Order: sequence, then C-alpha cells, then structure tokens
Amino acid sequence: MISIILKRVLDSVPTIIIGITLTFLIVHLAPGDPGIRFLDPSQSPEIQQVIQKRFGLNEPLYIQYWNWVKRVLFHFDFGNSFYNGKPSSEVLRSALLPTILLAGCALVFALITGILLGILAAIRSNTFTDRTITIIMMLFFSTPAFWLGIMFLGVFSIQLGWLPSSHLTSLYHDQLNTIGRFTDYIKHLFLPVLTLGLPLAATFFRYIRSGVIEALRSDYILGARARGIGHNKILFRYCLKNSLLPIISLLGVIIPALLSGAVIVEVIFSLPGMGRTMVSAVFGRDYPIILAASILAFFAVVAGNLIADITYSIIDPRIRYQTRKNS
Amino acid sequence: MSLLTVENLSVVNSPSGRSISILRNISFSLNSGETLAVIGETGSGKSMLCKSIIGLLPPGFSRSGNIWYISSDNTKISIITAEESDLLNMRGREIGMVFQEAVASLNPVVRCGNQITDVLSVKSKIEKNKRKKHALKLLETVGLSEPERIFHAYPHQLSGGMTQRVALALALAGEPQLLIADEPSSSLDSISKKYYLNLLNRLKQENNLTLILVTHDVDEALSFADNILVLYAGCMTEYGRTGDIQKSPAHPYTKALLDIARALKENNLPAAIPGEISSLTNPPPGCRFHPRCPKAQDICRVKEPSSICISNSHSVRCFFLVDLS
Repeated sequence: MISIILKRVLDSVPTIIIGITLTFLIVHLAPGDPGIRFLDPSQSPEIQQVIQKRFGLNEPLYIQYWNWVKRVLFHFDFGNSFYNGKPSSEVLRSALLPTILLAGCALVFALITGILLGILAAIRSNTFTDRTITIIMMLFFSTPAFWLGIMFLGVFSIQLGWLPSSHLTSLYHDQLNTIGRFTDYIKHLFLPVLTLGLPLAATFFRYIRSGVIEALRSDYILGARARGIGHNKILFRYCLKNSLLPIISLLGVIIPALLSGAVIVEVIFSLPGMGRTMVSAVFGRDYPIILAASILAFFAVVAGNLIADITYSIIDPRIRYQTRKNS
Repeated sequence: MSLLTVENLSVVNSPSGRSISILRNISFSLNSGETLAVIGETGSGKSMLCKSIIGLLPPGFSRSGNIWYISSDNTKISIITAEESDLLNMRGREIGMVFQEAVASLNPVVRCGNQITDVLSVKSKIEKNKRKKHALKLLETVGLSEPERIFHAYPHQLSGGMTQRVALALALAGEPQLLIADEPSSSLDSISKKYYLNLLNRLKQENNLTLILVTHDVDEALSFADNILVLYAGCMTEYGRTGDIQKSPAHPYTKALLDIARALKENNLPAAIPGEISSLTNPPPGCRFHPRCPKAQDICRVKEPSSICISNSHSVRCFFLVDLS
C-alpha cells in the first residue's frame, strides 16, 4: 500500500510542475502590468521603471521564472504581495480557514443529503416519492451556483431577514461565548454551504440512486436475499458499499470543482476565503499571490485524487488486487 | 409425507399490459430426503421455478396455484400467500439456494468468511464469538482444504470451483431442510463437476437434505435424482420416478433427451432435436413442443394436452404417448 501511495505521489510531480509553469506564463501574458496599476497615469516613466525594477518585472520572462522557482525551492519563499507587502503564505493562511470550512461543510452536507435521498429514491424507484426527489435534485443540479446564491440571499437574507448576507462572522463575534460563536459561524455559513452543497448533493444523488437500483437488481443481492439476510442489512452492508464506489472516484474530480465553486460562492457572500483572495489577486495582477494560491490548488487536486484512489482500494478489494498485480 | 407440494403453479410476467406465461400448471411433490432433478433446455423456466419456490421472483412476475411446504416444526405453509416477513424467516433456515453463477451470487466487496457469519448471525443461535469457528467448520464440510485462507479471501480471489463451494457453505449455514441447486455445476469443468456432485450427494446424506437439482445434463439427473421433472418452454412435459422415466419415457421430448444422453455416453454423434425452443413471448398454439415433435398431429397444433397419469407417480402431457407397454 505504501509503495502504491509513493508511486502516485511521484506520478503527480510532473503534473504540478507543468501546471505551475503554465500558470506562471498565463499570468504574465495577461494584459496589465502590476507596476503600472499602482501609479497615477500622469507619473513619469522613470517612476514606473523604478517600481517595475523593485518587483523584478523588468527582467525577461524566463529569468523572472527562474528567480521565482529558485526562491520557492531553496528558500520556500513565495514572495510578498504586491499590494500590501505581506508574505503570500500569511495572506493565504488567513484565507484558507474560511474556504476549508465552506468546502468541508458543503462536502459533508452533500454526501449526507445525496446518499440518504439517493437510497430513499432507489428503494421507492418509479413511485411518486422517487419522481419528486429526482425532479427537485435535477433542478439543483442544473442551477448555476451564482444564481442559486443570489436567490438565497434575496429570499432568506433580504426578504425574510433570517440569515446574515455576508462575511464569516458578525462584528460582535469576539464578545460571544463559545456556543454563541459556534451558532454565529453556522448562521453565516448556512446559505453559502447550501449554495455550494446542493448542486453537489444532486450529483451524488444521481450516482447513489442509480447505483443502489443497479445493486438491488444484481445477483449478489438476490443471493443475499435467498440466504435470508434482512432488508436493512442488504441495503447498507451489501448495496450501499457497492454503490459508493463511483462516488469515491468522483471525489477526485469533486475537490477541484469545490474549490472553483467556492470562488463564486465566496464572492457572492463576501467570505474572506481563498476564492475571493484569488479573484482580487487576479484582478490586481498580484503575481505572487496568484502563483502561491495556484500551487495550493494544484496540491489540493492531486491530494484529492490520491485520497480517492486510496479509499477506493480500501473499499473495493478488487482494485487492490489489480494494482498489486500490475505493479 | 411430502415436504414440498407444488400444485398448478403458473408464473406470468406482465410487462406493459401484455402477459407472458413463463410457467404453466406445474405440479409435483417432493418427499423429505429425496432428490428431484429438473431438466430442460435453456429458457424452459427452470430457474423461474426455483425462484418461485423460494419466493424471489423479479418484480413484475406473479404466481398462481399453490406451493405447500412443511416447515421443520411441522406447520404447513403456503409459500404463495405467506407474508414477506415469514418468507424472509424461512429463506436460509428452511430453504437454501445455490445459484448458477456462484461468484456473482457473492458480495464482491465482503470477505467470504464475513458473508457466512452474516448468515449465521441471522439464521442460527450460535454466539457471536463462536461464529467464526462454525464458519471455518462449514468451509471444511464443503471440501475446502484451507478454510482459514478462504475465510479471509474475497470472492474474486478464488477459483470457480471454490466459489461454488463457498456458495454451498452459505446456503447450508442456516441448516435448511430443502436445498435448491440451480445448475450448480454448469460453470465447472468436468472434474470439478464430478467432485461437486459427489460432495452434494454426501452432504445430502449427512444432513438429511431434500434436494431440487436443476440441470441440463440428463445423465447427471439420471444418476443423481429420485424423481425427474422435464420442462419444455415453461410447460411440464413429464414427471415421474427416475427409473420409470429412464425405462419408459412417455413424452417424445423426454425420449429425445434420453437418446441424446445415451448417444453421448456411447461416444456417438447424437441426433439433435430439430428446430429450437419456442419463445415464451410468442408461444405456438396447442402443445408447445409440436413444431419440433416427430409425432405431431393436427390436434397437437390446436389443443394443449392435459396431464395424463400413467401410474401413481408418473404423469405426462402428450396426446400420443411414446411407449405405453
């Protein structure tokens, strides 16, 4: 198992290198120069050059790239933000927590909702219950996150005034006791998590529903029933374990999707997370932040795939067997 | 006393309003400790007969007639009208079943041993900490020489013969009185097949099992069974004691099957039955075998033959019996 993990980690090194190089090039090729953006257009070209020199932007691109790689590899320094001069790592660290909270809660919410509704729809397949759940889930599946977010804001925050419309915490968050802080987080995260989680839940729902229906028709379920195994045990021990397999391989794709989804949701709900940091960095051509955030995103994607592969081989012994045979 | 009595069992599948008759008027009875072989070509309804006895027909299939079963506490149960909860209780404990594709009938992601202990946990009173020991013993009883390894193996890691034995151990875990074996040996090579059938025979004697053996191997049926039921396109063509059927087959179809089996045994090229089995969705009128029957007359094409009792235990559905001497 350890050799499989090591192999997969080594496999992902080229992916990360190519990804980062491409990001570096794309960012620098995009029109707009951070040096110029800080300046009043009336300033003299000399001052522009001073600023460009300070950020090292006057060098040819390959030298800039090489300098950056050197700094990252040998000093583990991702550079300081062009805007506020803070180190990238610090900027990202403070932005990471809201994103992890948002994405994590959305994933857990989506898994629970998707799996439970999927099982319910599958055991009641082709009944009124099944059709109602399926139609509602299809609506969420096909709704773009930005529209859903704005609708939630409009209804629950503005019309009904039940939930806050922005930020992760209230202004008076620090004065609250532990329970108060916790509910404060929940109140602020509720709508963003729904916005990010519902379309995801719909994706899981589709896989679980068809997986359970297929499993229920399979020979091993017939076999288990012929042995007199009870209904619930068949559903959870025999059916669900087998229908979870596609979901796990999906997780590798879901994690990047969650991150990009988080960008939109964070912007709508003004959450101070990675997504919003990245968006403002892109608009401001804040190269060090964009690159550091991209590296983080690449690692998240690679880690997501790795976790998916490992979990898959834990749940499905047939995969373990094949990997061992191939390697 | 008969352990299992099937009276006029018919199975109908009705997809989108049309009704397709899968089994028609099957009647037989099976005494405790005896073996019934059900023979017929692929598509004759053998598996459906098994599934209707254990009450596991796929959705959309309905049964009529009667299936009576005498449970181990001597109560007479009608399987057709029984509640699902009673049937659930009976499966595994009263009636066990082995499927044609053993590996497909095992859960691919649960270890073989755990599948056995799953059955033991619901079907026997064995305490939790003794279940593994019992499971290992079961694996040994079905002739597996490395029970500990098999216990921890997943189905895909075992050979066809081994999975077939594991499936048998699973079916026997609840100590049933009646074992339905649906073509258990058809996916095995001839040596494993022979071993498997001998094992089945031994277990039958040891546990006083009553056996329904579905097969398309006529020779296997003749050497193994006390009674033989011949199915053709969902219809019961002949039913009787093995000796009677072997000596004086009354239906042209049975006779043709026996001729083929005999020719194969003598290493001759058998004469095939012309044509192919009639489809269940669009069966021919009258006797379903008439398009292939060498003795077919006009009446066979219009009228369905009713069951004729040749003796107490030998019945046939044909207008022109082959041999009544």
